[in-house]
Amino acid sequence: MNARAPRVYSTQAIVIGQREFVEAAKIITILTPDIGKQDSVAKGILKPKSRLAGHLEPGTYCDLELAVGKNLDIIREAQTISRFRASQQNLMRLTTLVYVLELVDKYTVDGTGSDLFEPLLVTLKRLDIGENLSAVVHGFELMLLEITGFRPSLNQCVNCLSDVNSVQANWSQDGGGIVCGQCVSLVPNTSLIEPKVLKVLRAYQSWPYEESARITIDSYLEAQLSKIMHGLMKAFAERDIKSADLLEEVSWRKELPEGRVIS
Amino acid sequence: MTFGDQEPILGSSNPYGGSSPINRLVSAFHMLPGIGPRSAQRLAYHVLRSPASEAQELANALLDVKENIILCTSCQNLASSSPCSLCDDSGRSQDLLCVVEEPLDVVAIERTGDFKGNYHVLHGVIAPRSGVGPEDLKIEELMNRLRISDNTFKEVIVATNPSTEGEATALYLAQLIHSLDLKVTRLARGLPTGSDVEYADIDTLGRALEFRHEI
Repeated sequence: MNARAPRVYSTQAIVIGQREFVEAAKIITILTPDIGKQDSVAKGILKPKSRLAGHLEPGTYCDLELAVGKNLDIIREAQTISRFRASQQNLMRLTTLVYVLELVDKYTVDGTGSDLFEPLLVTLKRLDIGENLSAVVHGFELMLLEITGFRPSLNQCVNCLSDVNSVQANWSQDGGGIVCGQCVSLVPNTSLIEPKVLKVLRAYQSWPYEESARITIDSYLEAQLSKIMHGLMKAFAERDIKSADLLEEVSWRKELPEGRVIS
Repeated sequence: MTFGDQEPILGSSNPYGGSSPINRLVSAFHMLPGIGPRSAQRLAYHVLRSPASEAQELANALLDVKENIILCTSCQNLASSSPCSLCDDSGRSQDLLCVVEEPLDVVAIERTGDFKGNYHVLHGVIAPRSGVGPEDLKIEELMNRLRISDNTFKEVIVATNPSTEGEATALYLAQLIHSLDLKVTRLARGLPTGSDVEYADIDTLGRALEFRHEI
């Protein structure tokens, strides 16, 4: 006799996002360590006495019990493990959290991305503690690209594959890496990459996090790093990543002198 | 896309066909938020059974609301005139401004009878996943209103929802409004009446404890 597949299962999950569904229900997009990204239904979540509502906000790490549904699985119970509360109270960290979740959403399709669960969880924890934001976010971007098969080439020319050990190089966003001096005329749309930026990116890509988090980044360098990485993330995702623009705006505003009128 | 272009909601056994008036009406009701296919069918059959005058009244009300409702130039709320009756009410406190996500939030707060200040409706929240950025909201109008008010407002209450997007919007607004040297506050958070402490999420319970009050 064949064993029947269980109708109800439990899993840990990180809530990636949610959208309106019929009546008081919402579709919750979650990332789980076994299945990866999946859409599930939270019935009655919009009702004031819903026992699910507070546990399924984007960025929440939770325990879920789901029932197998015909099309989408139904969330029966949810219990928050961590809401990363400190991140929710700081604009820069909250915007970064939203950006990281959008990246996971844009780089995965249903049923994939289970190997992103641990890196995402670690990133959310680091954000919450308030560690070096540059190392946390760019480290995650590089890890995400590596896991999804888009590892940027920071030590080899993307055209001729020759080793480039120098930090004097050109950057090709469409090629996804650096271009050596000999190939620069052969690759369209290249631009100079600042030696410091390349040096830091190489460190973020190859050093353990504990070491790369010790690198001190000033606001100018961070702006350059963000520009390069946001461009790369949008190019590989082949669509706009709206929270990247918001993150740049929030970072820029943080640099304004106090009391200046924002228009 | 017109209503009639949609898949027939009544299914293959639908005796009225995909473009029949009944099916068009069911499809039209189904397009409304929170209305599922069964509710849409019930509403459509209710209209069918009602006197023609009621159906006419419904149709007129729908057209009237689309033709005559405008945005108040001051608070950005839906209104039949500008400034709206709330902005025009001299009895309301002129030093308090409550910023809400949607026009329905104004209705909810007014229902409490506890707030006598002014409103500003953002018409959404910053939600990058849905493609909504700060430029898509009535934030510029809010900042202009605060600037030209010449310090009339002493406090801005940010009453966006306690969701991730609502919090992001509140923090974003707070950063902007602080540059004008105005006090910015946020609605308190705690347990809803009739709820169970056992099932409360840790964030809500934590905040309820943090902002507890003496009795």
